[in-house]
Amino acid sequence: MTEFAQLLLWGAFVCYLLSVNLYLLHTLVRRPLFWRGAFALVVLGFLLHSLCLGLRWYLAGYLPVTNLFSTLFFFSWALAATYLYFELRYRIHAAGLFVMLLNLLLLGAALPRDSALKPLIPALDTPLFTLHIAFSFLGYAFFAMAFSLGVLYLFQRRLTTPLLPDLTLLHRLNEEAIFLGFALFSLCMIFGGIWAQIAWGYYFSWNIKGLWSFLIWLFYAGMCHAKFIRRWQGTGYACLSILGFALVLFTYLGIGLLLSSNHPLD
Amino acid sequence: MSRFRTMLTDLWKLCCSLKLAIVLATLATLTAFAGSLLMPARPWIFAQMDGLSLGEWFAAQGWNYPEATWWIGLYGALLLLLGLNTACCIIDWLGHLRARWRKSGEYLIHLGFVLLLAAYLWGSLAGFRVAGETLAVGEIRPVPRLPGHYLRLHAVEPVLGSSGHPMDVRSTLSLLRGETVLVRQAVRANHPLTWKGLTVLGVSFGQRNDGFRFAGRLGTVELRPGSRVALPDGGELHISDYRPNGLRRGNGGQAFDPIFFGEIRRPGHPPEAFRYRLREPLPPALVQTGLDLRPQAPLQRPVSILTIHYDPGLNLAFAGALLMTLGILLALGSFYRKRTRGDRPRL
Ligand code: HEM
Repeated sequence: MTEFAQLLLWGAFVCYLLSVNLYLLHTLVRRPLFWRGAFALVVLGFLLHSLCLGLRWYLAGYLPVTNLFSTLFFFSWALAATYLYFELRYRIHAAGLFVMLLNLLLLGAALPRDSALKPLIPALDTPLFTLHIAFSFLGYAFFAMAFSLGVLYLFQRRLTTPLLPDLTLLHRLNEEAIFLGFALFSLCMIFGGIWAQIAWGYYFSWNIKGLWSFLIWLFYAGMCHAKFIRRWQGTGYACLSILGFALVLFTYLGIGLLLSSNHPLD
Repeated sequence: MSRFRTMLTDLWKLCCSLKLAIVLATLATLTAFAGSLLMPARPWIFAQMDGLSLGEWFAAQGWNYPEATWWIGLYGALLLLLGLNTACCIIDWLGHLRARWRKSGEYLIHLGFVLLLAAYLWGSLAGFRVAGETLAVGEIRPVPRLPGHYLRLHAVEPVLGSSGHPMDVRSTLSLLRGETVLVRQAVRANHPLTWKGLTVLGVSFGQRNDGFRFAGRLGTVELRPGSRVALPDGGELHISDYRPNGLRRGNGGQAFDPIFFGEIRRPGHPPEAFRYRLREPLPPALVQTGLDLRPQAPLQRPVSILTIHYDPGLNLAFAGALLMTLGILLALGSFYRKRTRGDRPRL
């Protein structure tokens, strides 16, 4: 990676780090200046992050999402974008602390890894692959957002603090995150299926990662229906969104680390 | 009569019940989550799962290892019931279309799911997958298990990357039905030959020994099936077959024991068949013609190594995916419309 891209990457990381600190200060001291500063830093960090992503895309000639560094990097970018969407639309302020902390962890986990841009192998050289991965991490980002909102919901139920949005809004935001995540993840599955069909001759592969991805899709499809079930409002919904994200993380990281799978990206 | 009607109505309500859908989806998910943990530790059972259609794989491995594969049957049955449940929901929605047309996006997603499930079931039961088919340049061979269809290989070549490393293989193939060419395609990564439910992928390339080069009085002679050589006595040598690995095909053949089969044709005489095993001297029938053949080197011909999959449900699956994509786009709009109108289910 060029030095300039490296500089952008570190710049984004520092901005996110400072924003988390300012959000933390805001929760302790409650000054609008702090959350405004934190939000401005997220915006700046996101701009640097986007610039870095664009530069890497330009240098590689393809959307670089082929190894653990680049997927963590893209996941973190998608999560920052998701947070900005919710912040701009609903002004969730201090609720950003938890999401940005998660984002910091993702980007922090990417930093020590190999960021070199390697030539694309022919099987991955198709827009279907790009769409598959991009929609997958955009979906994951919304699931991560839903996870954060679920955790905040449980906090808010115990603390009833004016720092966080009220329970009704948190639940509605969670429902929206799950629905958008499900929609994006469905597109990921569809493009992935078409890609698998032309690359390997079948649209569903019985590797453990493929199977778990389908199960995650089914799980979130179930969650889209939870608003029709009284017992699954509020706390139940929050717990399900936490469980769902645990499954996402296990599918994304756990399977690769703990089990062996013949998914093409393992 | 009215009790019977009530029973039917109750049954229909159960078939359309969202609670039943959630129970089925939860059971299917838990079954597969738990069952799939058996997969990584048993590669001898599961590693080849993508090499066969699910039906064929299950018929073989399911019976051999029921203790490790039972969950796939249960998972499949639960998904099937979920599919039927979803289909009932769609039918119910169609019955109230006037009042519920705004939910078209949601129901297209449901329809897409049902079609995808039906397509997968169809493909698993009636499809097949064959790997490791070799086809030499110029050769025409029947497509396995698809009577009347043939594949012809026109050319095969490696594709080199910018650094000169071989990155891919390009095989130019035609699919024929009888004499008619149905498709011609340069097959390489992400560019299979497809026709209806058939997908032909070029996996690799290699060489096949299909004859021998000889030296002798006639100079250098290359013999392979189909070769014709004018003989010194005025006759003609016809090669009908060549087997590099001995008399018997398959596992019974010895390692490299080449044999030619053919006949000698002379005007006014009946053809005289011969068999020439290269480990032995030239057969008397050939010696009499005045031929002397000294084996020099095996002849190699480039072959493409192909994987052939047939899935009759492929178009249905594609239609399902298309409807689901359309449904997602519409449902996104409908989600926000419902929000702005405060349209939430009463619980
Ligand atoms: C895996 C299968 C299924 C998928 C992927 C799926 C997906 C969805 C999605 C994405 C929505 C929109 C949710 C929202 O607006 O927030 C929805 C709504 C709905 N689904 Fe499903 N669903 C499935 C199975 C079922 C089944 C089996 C039933 C019925 C038994 C069902 C009944 C409904 C109903 C009644 C709605 C509400 C439509 C409305 O009035 O807004 N779904 N579904």
